[in-house]
Formats: sequence, C-alpha cells, structure tokens
Amino acid sequence: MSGRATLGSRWLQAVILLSLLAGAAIWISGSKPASTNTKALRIQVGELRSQAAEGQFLAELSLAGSLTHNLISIEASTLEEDSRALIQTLLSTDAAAELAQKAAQGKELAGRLNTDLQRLSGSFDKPNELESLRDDFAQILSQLTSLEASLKQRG
Amino acid sequence: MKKFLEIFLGIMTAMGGFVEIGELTFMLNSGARFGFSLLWVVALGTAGIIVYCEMAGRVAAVTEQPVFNLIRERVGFNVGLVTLIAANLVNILTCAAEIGGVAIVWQLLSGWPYRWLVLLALLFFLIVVWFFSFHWIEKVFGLLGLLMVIFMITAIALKPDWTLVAQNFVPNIPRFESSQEYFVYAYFVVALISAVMLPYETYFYASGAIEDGWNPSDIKLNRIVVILGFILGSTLAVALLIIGAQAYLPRQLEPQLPGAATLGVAAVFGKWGMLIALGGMFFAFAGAAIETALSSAYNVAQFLGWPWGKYRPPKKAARFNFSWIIVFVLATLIIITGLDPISVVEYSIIFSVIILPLTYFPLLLIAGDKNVMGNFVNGRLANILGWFFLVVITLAALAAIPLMIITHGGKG
Repeated sequence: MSGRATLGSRWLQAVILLSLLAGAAIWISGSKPASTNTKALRIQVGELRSQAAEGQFLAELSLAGSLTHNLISIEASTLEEDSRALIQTLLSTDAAAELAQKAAQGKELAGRLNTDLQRLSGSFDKPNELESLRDDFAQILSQLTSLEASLKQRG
Repeated sequence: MKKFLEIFLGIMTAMGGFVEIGELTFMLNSGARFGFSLLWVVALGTAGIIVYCEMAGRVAAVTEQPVFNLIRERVGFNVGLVTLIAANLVNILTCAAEIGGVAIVWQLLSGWPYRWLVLLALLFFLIVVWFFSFHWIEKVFGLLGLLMVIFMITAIALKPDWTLVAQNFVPNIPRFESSQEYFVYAYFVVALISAVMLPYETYFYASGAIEDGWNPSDIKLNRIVVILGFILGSTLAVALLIIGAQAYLPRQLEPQLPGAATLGVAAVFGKWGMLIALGGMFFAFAGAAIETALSSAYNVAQFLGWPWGKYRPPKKAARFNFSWIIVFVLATLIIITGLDPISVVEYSIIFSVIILPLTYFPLLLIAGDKNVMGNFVNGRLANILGWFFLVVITLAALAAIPLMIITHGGKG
C-alpha cells in the first residue's frame, strides 16, 4: 500500500510539473513586450469599463443614501489609483500603428474616468455633484463598452 | 439535547466558515461574467469537499492521526515534503490575502490608513490565537461569519429566475463567440473548484477533529456536520454567484475590491445592509486567516512529529506555536508590501488546485484501507466518489497554470 501511494504521488507530481512547464512555454511564446496588441488593449479597456460601472453604481447608491462616507471615499480613491495605474500602462506602451486611434481613445476615456473618480471620493452629501458624476460615468461606460466591442471584433 | 446542540453548532460553524475572500471574489465575478452558468461547478466542488472532508474526519476519528502524519507515512518523507512545502506556501498566500481583506474591511469602516490596519490585524490575530481556545475561535468566527447570510437574503430579494437557476445546476457550457472566451470560462471552472475545495479546509477540519478529541463514536456527527454544514455553506456561495448575475452583470461591473462586494447588498438593504455585509466579511476573512495559519502549523508539526495542538499549554508545543506566529508574520510581510489582496488570492486559488491531488490521493488510500480503518473503511460509494473527484481535481490541476497564462488570470 505504501509503495503504491509513493508511486501514485510521484506520478501526480510529474504530471503537475508537466503542467507548470506547459504554462511556462505558453507564457514565453505568448509574451510580446514590444507593443500593445489588440488583446492587451481590450483587457485594459475592459478593466476601465468595469471601473466606470462601479463609479456609476457608487454615485447612484450614494445619492440614495445607501453608503457611508468612508466607503465611498475609500472605494473611489482605490479605483482612482487603479485607473491611474492603467493610464500609466497605456501611456508607456506603443500601440501598433493600426491600433493607434483606438489606443488614443482609450487613454482619453481613462483620463476622464480618473478625473471623475477623484471628484467622487470627495462628493459625499453633495447631491448635485453626484448626479452629474452618475451621468458622466454612464457616458464613459457606454463609450468604453463600444470601444471594447470594437476591439473584440478585431480579435 | 446536548448532542443536538453540538450538532447544530457544528453545522452552523461549518456554514459560517465556508466562505473566504477567494470564494467571495470568484463567486461574484463568475456571476458577473457568466450569469448562472457556473452554478453546476459550485455543486460539483461542494460534493467534492464533502467527500474528502468526511474521509479526513473519519480517518482522524478512527486513527487519531491527522492528514499530514498519514501523508508522510504513506508516501514517504521526500514526496511528502514536496506536498508539505507546496501546501504551506499556498496557505501563506491565502493567509496574506485574508489579512489584507480584514484590513480593507476595517479601512472601509474606519477610514484609517490601510498599512497601519494590516499591522493592527497582525496584532489582533496574534492575541486571539494565543489567548483563546480552539473551540472558542472555531465557534465565534464560524458563528459570527453567519452575518454573511445577508448575501443570501439579498440574492432572494433580487428575484432571480429560479427555473433558470435550477437548470444551471446541470453541467453546461454556454455558446461563446471566440475560443478565448471558452478558455476564460474553463479558467473560472478550475478556479471555482479550487475555491470550494481549498486544501487547508481539509487539513484544518481533520486537525480540529483531533483537537476536539473525536473517536469512532463521533463518525455519525462527522458525517452530519460535513454534509449539512457544507451544503448550507455552499448556498452562501450560490447566493454570491446569483448576486453577481443579478446586480453586477447588467451593469457590466466585475467587482475586484471587497468594498464592491457590498454594493449589491447596499442596493437592496441600504446602509445597514452594507454594514452587516462588512461585518460578515470581517468574521469570514478573519476566520480563514486563523485557519490557514493554524493549518500550516498543524501540517509542519504533524509532518515532523512535533507535539502540536491548541489544547496543549504553549510550552509543551512551543515549535507548533512558533510556526503559526511565523505564518502570520510572513503573510503580513507579503501583504504590507502593497500587493493587492485580490491578486494574491487569485494566485493562491490557482496554486491550491495544483496541490489538491497530492493531498487527497494518500487520504483516499488510507480511508479505503481495511487494515487501518477496520469497520469504518470506505464503502463502495465513498470509493467511487473519491476516485471520481481525484480524476476531476487532477485534470483541474493540469489545466490550471496554462489556463491562468492563456487568459491573463481570467481577464480575457
């Protein structure tokens, strides 16, 4: 029984090691650090889209009095930091020529989103500001969704 | 009456301790991305953890030996050592994510700086685990983790199409436009199986059985607690997935932060609902942090033959106590560097699935060994289910890393 268990475990370890090696091979063959490809841009735009959706949700719930001051300010600040990191990624990589226009649109929308998230973190108990932000987030969300869909179509 | 109370508390504790930060993140995101279509994976994973935790509890009650003792005995020192190192690395990562989750919850409640709260969380855990008994820790964090029931009530209040919910408990694969989306779906299948069947739960459960002094007369109790506790716990996981599908999918929001997880509750129950959700998350994450730290210490002590157990005075199990302190400190060092707890948990969930077969294979052999288990040996059903889930988790372990890379950690 003990020998069977050892042999079985060795087999399992070998199989898992194979999986790790396969993963490493896929990673090495798939990495393209030189320029932003469609897939990478689509992922970044998808993340921005989710952040815009959360911004809109936060603004709506804050207007309804369903959130605390701490939650809205911390959540908005964290989203703002995340969107800033995404802007840096978008700025630091050169988009392939055929993607330049879409990458520029992504950067512009990311900039607007970042500004709105900054405003959101200090807008608790300011209904007018929250209403304006809610509408703005909805607009950015719609534009990011369209951009993401067009990137999906490119493959 | 006392026995009934014990069973009831056991079930409630298992239920309250079922969800942790990884499960919260992956369940909500699964619903937010794929609607109800991954519910069958939650059911599959729940059946798997029931099968193996029942075996671990039964083996512990009969042999009075926990999982890692048996792993070393069965597979030898060298092979066992690889499993031990892998298991504890994953435990430390999971513990780091849970500590980060606790600090985020405290930050959302207090507004204090995150890094200070991480340190405060470390202090909190050291005090709680040092001064309180295993029984007290298990019951308090498990039972107060039941505040997470607010997510179940929210899921019902969101009025999902229950026929559609029921249909998705049958294995299915939705139609996607591209092969990449199939890969992302497969990545979530693997991640959900791992999130539900996290290996530390088995180590902790078996060690807990010995801490509580179980013997063969507790085997029925073991079976009832495991089956009912985990089924009720998985209804919490199902509720999270439903909230993802009902509250986040239509908004195109893929929640990444613990704060975002409370928005679905806040939308239904307002500020108080949100505060209860944060309370539930605190106890769920804190309970998991303690379980992972203790589980690591149990693993090392059991493997190396040191005296172990919370029931022993600290001086009599000094190396065991030193081990869980080290785990808390290492986990805190990882998370205080500023690593995002959600990213950490994603890695820990994916690496967990890789060690699942290495943990469960020796357990399956021992539970099926008549010489060791006597009359309590696996029946035909337990053996069939055990081997079936071993194949499932081995396939999941094989696919985990390639899928993580192909899908950029599930992002697309």
